[in-house]
Amino acid sequence: MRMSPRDWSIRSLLIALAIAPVLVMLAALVSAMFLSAQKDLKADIDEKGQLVAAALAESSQYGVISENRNVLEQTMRMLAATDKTVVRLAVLNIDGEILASFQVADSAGQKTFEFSHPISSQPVEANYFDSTTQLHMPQQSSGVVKDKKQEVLLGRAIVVIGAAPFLTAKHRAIYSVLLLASVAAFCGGVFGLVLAKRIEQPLREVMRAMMQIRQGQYNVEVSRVAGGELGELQEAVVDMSRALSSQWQWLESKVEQRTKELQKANLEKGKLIAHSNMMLESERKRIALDIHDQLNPSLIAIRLAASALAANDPKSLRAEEVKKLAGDIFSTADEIYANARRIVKSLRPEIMDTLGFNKALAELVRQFNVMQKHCCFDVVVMEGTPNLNGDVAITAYRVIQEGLSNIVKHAQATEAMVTVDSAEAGKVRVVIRDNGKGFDVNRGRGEGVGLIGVNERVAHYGGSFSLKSGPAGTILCAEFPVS
Amino acid sequence: MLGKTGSKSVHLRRRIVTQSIVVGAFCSAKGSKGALPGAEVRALVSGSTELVRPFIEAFGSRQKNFYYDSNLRSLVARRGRAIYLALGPVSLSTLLEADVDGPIISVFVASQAYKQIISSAKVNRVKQVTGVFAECSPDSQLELTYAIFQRRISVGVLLSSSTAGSEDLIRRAAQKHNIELVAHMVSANANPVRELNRFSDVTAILAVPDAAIFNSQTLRGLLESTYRRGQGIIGFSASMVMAGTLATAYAAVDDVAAQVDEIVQFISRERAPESQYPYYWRVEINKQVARSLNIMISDGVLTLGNRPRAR
Repeated sequence: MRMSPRDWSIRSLLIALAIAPVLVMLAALVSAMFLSAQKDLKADIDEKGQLVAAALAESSQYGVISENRNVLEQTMRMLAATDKTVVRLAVLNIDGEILASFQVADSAGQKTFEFSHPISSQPVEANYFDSTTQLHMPQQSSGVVKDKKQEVLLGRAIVVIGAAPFLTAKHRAIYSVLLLASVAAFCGGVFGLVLAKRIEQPLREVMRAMMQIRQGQYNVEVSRVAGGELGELQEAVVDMSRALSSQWQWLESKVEQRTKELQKANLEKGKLIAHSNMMLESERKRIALDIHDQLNPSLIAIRLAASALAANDPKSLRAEEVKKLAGDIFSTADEIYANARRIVKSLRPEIMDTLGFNKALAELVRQFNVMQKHCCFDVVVMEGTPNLNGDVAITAYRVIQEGLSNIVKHAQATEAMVTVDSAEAGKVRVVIRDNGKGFDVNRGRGEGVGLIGVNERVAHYGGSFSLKSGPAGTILCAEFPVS
Repeated sequence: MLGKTGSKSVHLRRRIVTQSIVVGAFCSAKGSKGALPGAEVRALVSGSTELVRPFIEAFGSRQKNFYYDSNLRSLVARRGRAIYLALGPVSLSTLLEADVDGPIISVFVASQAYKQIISSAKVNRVKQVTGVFAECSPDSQLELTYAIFQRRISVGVLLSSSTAGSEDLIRRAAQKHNIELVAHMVSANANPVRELNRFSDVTAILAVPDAAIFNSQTLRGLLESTYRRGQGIIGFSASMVMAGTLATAYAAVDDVAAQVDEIVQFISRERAPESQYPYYWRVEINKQVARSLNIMISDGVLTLGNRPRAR
């Protein structure tokens, strides 16, 4: 099955990492050498050919002037003996005829390059007494004439250079470099493998530790077998496992705590539901009693009065009797109406619908002041506080009603203050404080269901509820969001 | 132009104080009939004065009644009798063409060029022309050759049509100095270097001024060819020795000045003496070439020659 590099093991990757750069460098080096050798080869051949041609031209000057073929051949033989790259030498006269030629080697099977160099005589300056314009002075200075125009072309020197010796030399050089490069690559590879092995072991340790962590074993131990960054990596893994372990323990304890809290909340909710059911039954019972005790007797009285009227002959009744019965029915109906209104009022504060939250609150505080002579209740609604409406207003009203009832029942306070304000935009805060004896908040909340109900009511409307209590009194605070 | 420095009409001239009494007394003492006592020696300079200045100074120290100029008109416009000095081929041709009134002495003109110029001059004018050739005589050269080798040797000489007439003179000189001469005529289109192959047995080559044989194009080949054979070239000018020939007899400026001074003493108005090779000469040796050819040069060779009297 063919594996992609992505699937390679660490060992394979490290070996590739160690070997690949060496191989790439080797390939680049060999390519560069071949390119350079090709360029150098032509330059070397050109240089050698021109040099040999110039040398042949210079050394053949006399042979061409004197047409001494023996001298020319001797010159060419000597030149060929000193340079193994020469394949053929020839000297031509000014007419292009071959004066002498020398075949050094067989050029078959190798590429050859031909070079040519002019053979010219450099005039020698002296007084030859041959001028018709110059003085014929015997001591006139002499020397080589510098003017190239005065050089006389005598012929040409032809040199044929074979590429084989150059190629051999270049190949030898390339092979030498290749051998050295291969040795260097081998050493580099071995060195890379050693390094890879040194890297692999710590990485394997780290891998093992990571796998343990993945399996939930946070207390891993990694022996530090490497220095430097790999050692730091190993240490980091160990530190990380320790941190994960402690985090895990913290989370476990947190979950346990939250579970307990949830169980407690569920218990409270059960109590609240039971209390609510009890309250509901109690309220039904009270309403039934109210109807039975207050409405039914009045209705029976009205029935009896109406029956008396219906049973007697209207002509037999006197006007006083009819008036008296009508008066009884009227007063009894008034009584029924008053009782019904009281019952309704106890079910829902009517004043809330007619006067609004603030007035209803003021009436509530007034009623408590009437009921409780030893405690002074007061209420302050701060200016700019949004007016609460609807169910939120009812809830706030009930929260305050519960708070004031608790003060009356438990606090033994002499002063109580209800403050309604808007400490935060979009929220209405209700604060009830008293100077009572206070209570243990945790215990109080655990046993009583009133405060639980308050908390649940506030939470139901997205508000918040807090309670502080001490020897100096109690502060109840509830915040309600307002749209 | 002599001494011209900006203005065409101005010619720098050098006037030597006339001492005609000395010249006249010399002439009288020699009893030469028709000599030119008191004649002013007037030199016509062509080309650079700097080249001939050593001669002017050397001759001026001997001949006090001496005047030189690069302007011919200025020269002939001078009063009194005169002997004219032609310094170089151009001056000689100019003086001959100008038909100046007085004898002409040619200096620094080689024999071949001299004969060429004279051959084209008026016949009656030729009688009044003489000269000292630029090169030394074959006699001097072969005397030097013998002195160098100290034995009877054979010497080769290449001649062309223009120098063929010198063969007898050279042969007589060779005979005089116990030298075997091998002369070879070089045809017009022949390669002088190749012609040297005929001299495979000679010990030295005598070079004579011949433009067809010894020139700037052939000298290198000639030198190389003779060197390969172990032959030395006896040149005809000191500059050729510097260029690579073995040795030469040559007339230095002082030597020429002394000889010209003597000619001035004897020259007559009607007829000038025959042109002649330098009487005074000395030797120039290329010691490096001699060492390369394995030739030992004795001290006597270096002092060979004929020096003029000091004045």
